[in-house]
Amino acid sequence: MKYIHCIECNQKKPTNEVFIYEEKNYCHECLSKKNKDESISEADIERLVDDTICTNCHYDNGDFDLKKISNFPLCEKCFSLIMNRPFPKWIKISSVALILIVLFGLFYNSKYLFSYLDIRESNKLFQTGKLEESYLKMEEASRKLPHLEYLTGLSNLYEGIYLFYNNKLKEALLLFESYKEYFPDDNDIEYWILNSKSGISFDSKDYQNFYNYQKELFNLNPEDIIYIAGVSSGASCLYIITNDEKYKNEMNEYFELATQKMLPEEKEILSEYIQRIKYRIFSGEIISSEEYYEKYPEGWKGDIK
Amino acid sequence: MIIIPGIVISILTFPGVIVHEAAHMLFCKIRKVPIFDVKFFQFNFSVAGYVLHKDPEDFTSSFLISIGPFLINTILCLAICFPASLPIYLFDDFNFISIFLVWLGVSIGMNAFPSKHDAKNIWEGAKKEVGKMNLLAIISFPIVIIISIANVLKFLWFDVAYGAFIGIILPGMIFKNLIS
Repeated sequence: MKYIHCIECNQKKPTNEVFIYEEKNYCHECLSKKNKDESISEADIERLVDDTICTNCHYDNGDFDLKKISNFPLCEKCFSLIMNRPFPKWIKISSVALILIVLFGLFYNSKYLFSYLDIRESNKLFQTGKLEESYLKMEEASRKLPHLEYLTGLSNLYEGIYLFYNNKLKEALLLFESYKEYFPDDNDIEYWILNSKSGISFDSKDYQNFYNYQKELFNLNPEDIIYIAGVSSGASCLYIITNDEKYKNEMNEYFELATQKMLPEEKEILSEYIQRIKYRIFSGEIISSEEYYEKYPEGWKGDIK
Repeated sequence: MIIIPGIVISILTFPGVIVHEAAHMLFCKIRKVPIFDVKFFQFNFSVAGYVLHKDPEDFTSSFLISIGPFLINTILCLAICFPASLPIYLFDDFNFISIFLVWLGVSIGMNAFPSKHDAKNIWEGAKKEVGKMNLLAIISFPIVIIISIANVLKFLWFDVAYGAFIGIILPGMIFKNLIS
């Protein structure tokens, strides 16, 4: 430690406790006294630094000056610490934890991205008519996020549509009804449900219910020519089994309505449907569309009065 | 307008304060600048954390030490928030994990902007270097202006807006384009 004499009291004081004011050395006590009398500005005072005392840990290096960083004398230990200050252990652990959180976030949330991509792919496949691949993709999307129940509902819808077009109507109906539980506000599902029920009734030769469901479908969308013709088809079945003229009249009435509402681009599909119904009346037998096309691959070309 | 004391914001977003100071320290270490003292977080009304280091001898070090937190905090905010936003934007799934991760990311993003003191450091260094046609010094001037404006606007929650933009709005904009 180095000492300096105070100009006022002439006492020997440690350098670190001495101040320079107007180029003279003062100890703390004398400078305080002077300050009371003269009101000294702090800007005019400079504190002396003892180059033998470590600023950080106050280690006394005797008469020898210490190394400095920015005018601060530092012992070997503090010098090394300040030059190479390590990150505290808790910061290192937190950094590792943060990296793990980032990785976990990426891993945990990647399933959402992959599921979303599956849904997009499924929709594309659906639009191109690849129903089986479409429902399998949707099933995959739902499996990735099992806690999102509505995805199970969507998967059921897509599988149901696939089964519907493969004439597995009972299985399809169950899936449509399950979808409805997840999406009770989706009115479009009613079409699929009623179409399935109507098909099941037709297959089991329950023509009264077939007719009823066709009527319900028509009531849901009275502008759709397929549903208008559907009522015609139901009425034709009831006419065949009951021979009641009112059904024949109803059949003709709906034929006419469908023809009136038909758009030019719907002509082909409606004509084909009407021919099948006419053939039913002509032959007096109710056969499935598969049986009909087996008999008449190009469609029946006759007509009825 | 609601005035919330800075200390409350700092406590709510403490991971960001810690990352900010750690980024300063990291760049000090990379540029071999002596560090006198570090406080990663403290309950203080004026300064939530600090890194006390020697004045760097070159401008590049000064620039990197001051800008470091902006780079590190912004990158971390993006890295945490982008994946965390996937369930929210794609499936409306506000699960606990995603909410936690978004809070963490936004907290870090909010503390990305360098302080007034950092801006002053760059400004002083850039003034000396610009005469030497130092390119980094030249581009520093608009950066200092942006930092200074950002610091003034902190009063109007600019830091919150920046964190929310990087961590919530930007992923949303990107995912919404992905959806459409």
